Amino acid sequence: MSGWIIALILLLNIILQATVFQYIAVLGIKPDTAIAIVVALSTFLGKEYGMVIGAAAGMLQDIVFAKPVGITTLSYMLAGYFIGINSDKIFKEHMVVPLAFSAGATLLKYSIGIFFNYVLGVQIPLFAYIRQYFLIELIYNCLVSVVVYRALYLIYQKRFLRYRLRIKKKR
Amino acid sequence: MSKLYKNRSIIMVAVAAIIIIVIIAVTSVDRDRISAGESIVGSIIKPAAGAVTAVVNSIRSSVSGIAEYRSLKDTNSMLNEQIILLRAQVREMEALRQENHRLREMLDFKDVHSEFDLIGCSIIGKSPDNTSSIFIINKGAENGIVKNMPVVTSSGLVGQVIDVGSGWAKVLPLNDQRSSVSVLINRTRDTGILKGDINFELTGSIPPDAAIVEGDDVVTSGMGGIYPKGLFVGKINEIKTGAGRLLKTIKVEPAVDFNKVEEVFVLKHIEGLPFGGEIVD
Repeated sequence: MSGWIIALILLLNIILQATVFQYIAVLGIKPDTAIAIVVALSTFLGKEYGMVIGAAAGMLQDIVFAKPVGITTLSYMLAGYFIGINSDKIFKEHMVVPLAFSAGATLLKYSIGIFFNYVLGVQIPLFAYIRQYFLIELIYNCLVSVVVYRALYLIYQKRFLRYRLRIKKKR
Repeated sequence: MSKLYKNRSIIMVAVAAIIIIVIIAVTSVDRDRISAGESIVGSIIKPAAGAVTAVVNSIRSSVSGIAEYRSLKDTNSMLNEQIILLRAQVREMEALRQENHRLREMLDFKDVHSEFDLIGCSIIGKSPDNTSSIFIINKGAENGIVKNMPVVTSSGLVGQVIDVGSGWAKVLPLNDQRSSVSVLINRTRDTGILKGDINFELTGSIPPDAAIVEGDDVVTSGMGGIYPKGLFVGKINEIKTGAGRLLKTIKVEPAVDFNKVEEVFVLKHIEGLPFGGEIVD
């Protein structure tokens, strides 16, 4: 059942990203709330769930808005997996967690994006790309991630997600 | 075996990564139709995104209406209900006038480009990716839209259809950095290539001996087979001729405001008629 809730969150997110969030762009840059969700859920639920949730969030975005399909899927899946690996070793309550993880996830997304664009022959002025997109999105994602993390943490604390997914609390 | 079990998540992620890379490779080549899975996802997103966009647009228009009303109230306290009513009527008439104007422009467009049927579409969502300006429209394969069809507004060229689903399609606008179009400077007849850049502006290259000036009209050249000849793209607003440059670099002010466009027309070529009209002055 809770898998459905996560699916609903991802679906709602992509719809909001495609419509309402177009209006909260700062310097032309929209926040990537999908990354914020992947960061939060991977931290709470671990690497395997992180990987699946990341892949699902990326696949949704790729199918509807991207060509070719798969670059975002790969970056979110790896982000979910790597965050999940570290989820046991950190204090989940600390606000540095979403900041650091979403910074890492944004870096990973841009690295993979630039790599595949290069492979597929799209010319990218690297430094302008970093200055114009990456740095602003990095800051914006980190800020948004703190809010999203807090909100999803509250849901998680209510044992709503955890029990429905039958995940044992790790001692 | 137990070691294999211990490493199962690494194996899982590696296998998944390989599958995704294969998907990237498969979807990066030209396809006539998207897969059934992609079509289903699009069909789920489309009505929801369409509804949210409709709500957002109505909120936007009401908010701007309220703002306008308040500023008028401040400057003129004598406004009463009757004037508000009149204003509402005026606004309604203005909307009708604009619609009339838009339809008339479309008719003009249709007169010039009679070799095309126009399929009217609304934009229902824009890419969340900051490096992309791809958007989706509310019509697809069953409306006769196929890949590579040009997309226009009454002002000029918008871009091309890159993927078609059932009831929705993806459009790559001209200002996306993956977009390029062969163009013609209307006055001098010089040809060049215009591309989107990372600022979502149109930048192009023109032969160095071209006697172009700022303000010259830029239209499609018809080369490449996707865009018909003579579609208005925009006006030159910057020309750079640095020493040692093999080509003149131009910037073009697009005829279409890509941020504000809400409705577009997909051009469906009518079989048997020549592809591409005459150049419009």
